[in-house]
Amino acid sequence: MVTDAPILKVQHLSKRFGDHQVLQDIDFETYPRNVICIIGASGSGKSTLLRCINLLETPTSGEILFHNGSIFSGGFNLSTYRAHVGMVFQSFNLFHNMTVLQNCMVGTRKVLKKNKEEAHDVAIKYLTKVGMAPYINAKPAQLSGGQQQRVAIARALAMEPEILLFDEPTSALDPQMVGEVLEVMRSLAQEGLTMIIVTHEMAFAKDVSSRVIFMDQGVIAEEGSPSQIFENPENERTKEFLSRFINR
Amino acid sequence: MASPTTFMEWVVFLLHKYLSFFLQGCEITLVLALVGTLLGCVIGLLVGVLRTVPAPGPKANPAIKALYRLMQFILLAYIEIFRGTPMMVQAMVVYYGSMQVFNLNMSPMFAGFLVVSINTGAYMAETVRGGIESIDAGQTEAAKAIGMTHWQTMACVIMPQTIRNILPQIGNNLIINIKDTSVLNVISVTELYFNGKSAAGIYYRYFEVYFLISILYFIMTFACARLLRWAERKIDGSGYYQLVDPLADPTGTLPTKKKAKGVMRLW
Repeated sequence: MVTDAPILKVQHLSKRFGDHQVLQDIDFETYPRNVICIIGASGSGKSTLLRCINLLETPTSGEILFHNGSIFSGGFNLSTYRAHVGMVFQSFNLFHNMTVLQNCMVGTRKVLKKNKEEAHDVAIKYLTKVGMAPYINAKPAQLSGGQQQRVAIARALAMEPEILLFDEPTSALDPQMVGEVLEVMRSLAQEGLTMIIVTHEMAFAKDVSSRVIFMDQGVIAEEGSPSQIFENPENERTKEFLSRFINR
Repeated sequence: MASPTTFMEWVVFLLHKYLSFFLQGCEITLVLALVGTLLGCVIGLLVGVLRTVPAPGPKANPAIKALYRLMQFILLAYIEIFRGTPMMVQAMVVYYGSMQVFNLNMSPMFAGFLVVSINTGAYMAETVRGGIESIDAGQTEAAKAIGMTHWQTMACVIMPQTIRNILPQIGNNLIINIKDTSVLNVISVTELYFNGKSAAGIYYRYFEVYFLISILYFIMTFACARLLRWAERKIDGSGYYQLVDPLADPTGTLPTKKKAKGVMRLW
């Protein structure tokens, strides 16, 4: 079914903090319109993997290819790459000194060098998509967690990225807000946005993913379709991890 | 007018005779403090930002590494020396030293501006560094994640938040400078304390003159403190926001109830 070339290829990626091996020999590929969910216990290296992909952390070894070009090669433009690979954080990280609208315009203005009108229209378009357009004049501190996270998603979408990375986007939210954020992400998945999502929301992962990666102690322990991973896991660690969610 | 005898009579007499002389002193004091604080902030922002430039990685060019280390050494030396010596002594060294060593004949006022600015800059540099380091790392990461460069991140995200957070400390510095410019009397800057000293010496009425002088200092510092508090409120903006319908009205806000009358609250 997959005929396109992969957007992103991660090869033999390793990351060490001092003596602590956080990631070891990670390999996976992301094709257009894939939704990849990465699950696993806290400390298994999920977030570090995501942070290595957009170089918020520098991998110790390994290779990351973006459209078959190494992101570590000399001539590679990091700023442009990051504009193509968006990121949504667990703690939202909206810019506190800006309004909702300014948050969604600063990237398109400064990095993509769009003019003011264009940046404004793009920001409004994506704020409307996440249902936050009426709040353009609010400051982040005046919004609830779920609202902030939806603005953060709009800020990332305004860059019109090829891939969007989500680092536990709902872990800092109460159950009601989790629902509103997952709903937005679900609609993005249906529209065919390529996403890599680190999450603890198993029902959501099962529902939207095209592929699920289970990470354990810095390695990919098991990888497959959602039905494979959630209904017929082969790895003992996967079974153990998922049983805790099912028995809850 | 009979010659004054009581404390109050002396105060009234001196006020009548020297008020405009004292106000000239106030003017010099305020100009020195305001300009010195402003230039000091500029120096402090520059030095503070340079002090937080991330160190070059292990693979960087050795020349760049050496340059980085030299820059950090010079900046730290500047801060330590000017924080670690009294401003009065600095004034003497700069004023007389420039004449003797460099054959520069600078006016006392110019030396005053120089000393206050450089001194304030040394303190502000550390305040700015603290302010930058107190901003949540997530702000920088979010800026990087949308592709902003280090300098764009600084200019658009980190510095606006830092400046807001250090505004109370800038206020502190301004108030300290209004008072501490009095040490410049040693190089004959005709600020308020110097003029007070001159007036006091004529009638030998030290208590009465310095009582008046202290009131004038307090009026200046109190007014500045209130103005800075007002500026902080102004930057913080409204505590409320208005919901808008950007599709129905692309130009701005929905019609809502009348804006509350703006009252300039200084408290």
